[in-house]
Amino acid sequence: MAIKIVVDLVRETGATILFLLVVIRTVARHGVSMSQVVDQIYVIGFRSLPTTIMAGSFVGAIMAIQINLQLRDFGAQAFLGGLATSVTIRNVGPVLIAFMLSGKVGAYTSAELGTMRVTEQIDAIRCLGTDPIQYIIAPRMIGVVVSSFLLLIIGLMVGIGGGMAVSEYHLGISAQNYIQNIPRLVSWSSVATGIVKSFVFGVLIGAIACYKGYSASEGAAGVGRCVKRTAVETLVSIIVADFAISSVSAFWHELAFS
Amino acid sequence: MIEFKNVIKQFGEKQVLRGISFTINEGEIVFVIGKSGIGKSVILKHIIGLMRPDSGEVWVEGQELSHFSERQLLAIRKRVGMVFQYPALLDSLTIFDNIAFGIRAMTPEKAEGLVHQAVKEKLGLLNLHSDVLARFPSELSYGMQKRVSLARTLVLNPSCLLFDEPTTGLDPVNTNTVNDLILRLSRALKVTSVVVSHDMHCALQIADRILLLDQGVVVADGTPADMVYSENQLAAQFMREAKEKIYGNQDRR
Repeated sequence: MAIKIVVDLVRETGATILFLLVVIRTVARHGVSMSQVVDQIYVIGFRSLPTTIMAGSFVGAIMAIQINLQLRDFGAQAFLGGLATSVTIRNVGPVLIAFMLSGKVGAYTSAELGTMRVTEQIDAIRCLGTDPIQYIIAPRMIGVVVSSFLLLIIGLMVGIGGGMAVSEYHLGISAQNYIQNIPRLVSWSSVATGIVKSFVFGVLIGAIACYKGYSASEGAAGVGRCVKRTAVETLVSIIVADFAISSVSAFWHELAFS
Repeated sequence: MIEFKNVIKQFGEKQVLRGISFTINEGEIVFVIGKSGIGKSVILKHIIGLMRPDSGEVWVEGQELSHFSERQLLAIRKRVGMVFQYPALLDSLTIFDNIAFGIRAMTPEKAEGLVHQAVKEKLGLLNLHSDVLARFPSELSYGMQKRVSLARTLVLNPSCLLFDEPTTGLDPVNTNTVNDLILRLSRALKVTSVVVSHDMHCALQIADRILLLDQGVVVADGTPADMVYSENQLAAQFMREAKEKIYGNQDRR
């Protein structure tokens, strides 16, 4: 049983990576319709903006409240803005917002592609002389990656605002004090880590959602299964990628300051 | 001409085609019948290169397809069209863009005026008015979507047509329209038609030949009359109801 799970995991991971490479090769060789990419960014990204803004502001607010509890005991609330922003940008923000996007963007994309697969739309496109990877998958994958990346960045920026707002109106720390220590405590490496994580999470959501949808089979039940797998695999892969990037980032940080 | 030589196809543990062999001649209308899940649609998908055999050979118009690349298959797909079991229309495109999709992809040099003309001509063949052209698939009934999908395939003027249950979901009037169309294309333009269907009434009316599939091989192959009077028990079961409708009176005489 355990062996089968490991074999399945390795096979699915390999298949997703190969699928991603096929999409990259197709785009490199034949290009992609920019109008379709813009359409996808609108459909996937723009419509997810309100949810992302809400999630981002709450993530920032939660961080500020939690960190304030620790700092208050040491009388170090002056550092709240810097610490909350650093934690939000480096780790908690990208992960939580990516979780939300995997549920919204990932599930939407895999369900849409899965339905196209089981209703033979993808086969029909092939029969009509068009490569479905170029016509259907590439614009969606680029749309998902770009949208997720932009939404994560927007979510993180809003998160800082959320932390600041809750500090001002709930914790009694003025916005000026909150901002004051941000440049001191938030290093460029924190910003870079947040940006790298946002990009990697966007790629993971796009690749897994598109692959699962494209390889769906067996009718409505098959679409249900592909959406479930997309949700589970994106969440797990985001956690694993977060661990990997955090480890590399910490190692690099130690190296730079040793 | 289409020829299958000892084609084997397996999905997981299940072997769907077990060394199947048959030939379909130019201009023939051949119905492929058999129980559900027996591999009828799989045969169509092999003919158009959507699937490749695990072993054996699939010949279409003198070319063996098993090792063709997608680019090589493009030339085959210009001449072989497929009408799917589902309408398989693209939701984000209008009906016009759906029908014009193949012609634009395969003959990009064709002037837009000629594309319009071809689309309207095929629409008329299928009893569809041109006011549907600006609408989206979700605004049409299932039967209309089916006919649009047929128009989308016909617009390329293929020399061979593959139909996967073309009349499912159609009313009797439009079922007759589709059957007449298949017959007309075959007789007037020598278009080869391979039809997967459970509609034995249609099969007996328009088929030149019927292939009966069971256990992954062809168990009966003959004209509609051969099938009606076949001693094969499965063929008899399939033909019983349609036989009474079409041949009932003659039998009593």
